[in-house]
Amino acid sequence: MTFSPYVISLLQDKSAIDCSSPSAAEMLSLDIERVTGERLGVNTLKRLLGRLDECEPREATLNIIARYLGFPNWSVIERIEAHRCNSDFATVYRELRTTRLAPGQRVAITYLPDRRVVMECAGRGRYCVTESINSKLRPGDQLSLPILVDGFPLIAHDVVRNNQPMGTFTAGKEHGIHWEIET
Amino acid sequence: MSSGFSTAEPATKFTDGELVTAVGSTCVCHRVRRHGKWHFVKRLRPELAGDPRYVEAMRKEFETGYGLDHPALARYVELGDDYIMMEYVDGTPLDEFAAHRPDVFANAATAWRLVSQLLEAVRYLHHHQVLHLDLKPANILVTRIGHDVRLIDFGFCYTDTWRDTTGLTAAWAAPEQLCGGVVDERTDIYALGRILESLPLPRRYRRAAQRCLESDPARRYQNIDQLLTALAPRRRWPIAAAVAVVALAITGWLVRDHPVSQPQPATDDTVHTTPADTLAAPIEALDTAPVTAPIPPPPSETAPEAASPADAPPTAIEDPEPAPATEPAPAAETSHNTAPPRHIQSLEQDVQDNINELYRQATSFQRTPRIIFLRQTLPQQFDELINYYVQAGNYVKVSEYTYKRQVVMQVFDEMGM
Repeated sequence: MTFSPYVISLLQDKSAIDCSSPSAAEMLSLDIERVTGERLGVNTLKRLLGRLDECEPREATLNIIARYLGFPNWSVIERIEAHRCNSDFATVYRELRTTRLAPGQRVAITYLPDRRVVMECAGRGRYCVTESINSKLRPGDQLSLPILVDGFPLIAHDVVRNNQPMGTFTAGKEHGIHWEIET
Repeated sequence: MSSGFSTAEPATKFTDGELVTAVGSTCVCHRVRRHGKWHFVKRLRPELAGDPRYVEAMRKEFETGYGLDHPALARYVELGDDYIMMEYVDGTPLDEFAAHRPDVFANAATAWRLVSQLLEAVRYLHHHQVLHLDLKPANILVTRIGHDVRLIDFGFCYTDTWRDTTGLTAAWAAPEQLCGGVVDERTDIYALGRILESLPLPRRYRRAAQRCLESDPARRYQNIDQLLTALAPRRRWPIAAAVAVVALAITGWLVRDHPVSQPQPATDDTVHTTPADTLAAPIEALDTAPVTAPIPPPPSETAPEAASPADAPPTAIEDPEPAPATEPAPAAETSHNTAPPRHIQSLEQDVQDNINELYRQATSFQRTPRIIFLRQTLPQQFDELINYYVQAGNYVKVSEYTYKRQVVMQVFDEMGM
């Protein structure tokens, strides 16, 4: 095993040591001891930095490095790295994960040209429409709504009206929706 | 596009069963049979199916991919209510392939072949105003047969018409992506640097990768063309290649009364291409004597042409057995120095004879030379030959057509000619 570029960047940020320099392992060993009180062998660090043949480090060794970097243990770094390998959107959107709402809380959704819908959380991801202006949804409709994202369409699943399944409801396809939690 | 209800089934079912082939961070891939052929069907993970961003990203991926056409890009077939259907690619992700086949990367020719295919695919995207923005080994498949590159997953790409829902994978993303800055071709180049760095490639790739990984985009390669130029293997025998081109041009001008017909390939071919963009320079630069000896065409498989002695197929072509080494035809090779380069002489003897024949045949063509080359050799040497001609600025078309158990390789100096 050798350190990933991400871990090396963390080490460099923490220690201000250029990990590509020949003496990086020695300096890193001293700095790790200074911070954690634990000493790691220079050759061990050289192997992890890719300067010597690879080896499988002990869990204790990795945990010392994790603590040096400010993490409780190495598995946390592994989880972060795993997440870093997943694709995700580059933009942070204003979103509402509707599981955050408590039963009885209401959210107002508006979209062009003049539509407005207010839904009340019924628990377990289900919502009930309480108010509808110029929308095809009607008060009393029940639906599932996992997430609301500003600027994106609304997608409601399993819409039920008068105990009749209505399918999926989509709104704001062209210009997206805007949501606000009603207080 | 008004709002409304849709009663489509949430999960479209396909006949002939479905087999989960891959589970990613956003989608699940199934292999399904449609119209008798295998396809990939890609669906959002259930927890993301109601997220409009991922729904839009999937639509964007289909519309972008459907509008592109390149051999190294996976083809998109159909967009359904909750799925994308694309061609089935029998391959493995690049990192897995590298782990199991490091020998491919240790060999200079095959390593360059893979890398250049990847770079050509990305260059094609950029020429069509598409930034991939999620280049990583998991999105690069290497086919099991032929070890060709297939670039997939445009869900987080940037195009002129889909400017939102761009994405990234943090471990492979450029600094400007991570901080929400402006992205351009250099952003993809950064990711390519990460990829090159992760592969067991020869040392010269590392130097190029380092430049790709400059934090400041202005210090990276500014486009894929620059990166291709930096990585392209040095042409060891530019004089010989240039002389061959001159021979083609001049004898094509001289020998106009001997039109040549070539055997037609039986099936569609694999095309390895590189632009023939340097022909003019060698032709202008070199001064050569005209070639006077016309060379007969090779025979076709189904209907061998009645041959006069002058048009009779050369012995090396008809005879699949290795032939003794022969010197190049004096009229052509002596005056034009078209002897095969030294490194080619290390190949099997029959291959060398065929190369000699190649140069002789080259003199028999007109303005648009086409060279039919029959060979019987080992796959590794065959790849080296392809690489040699591609590096010399030719297009190489490998056909399944065979004549007496020899595979036909056609070398063109212009695409489509």
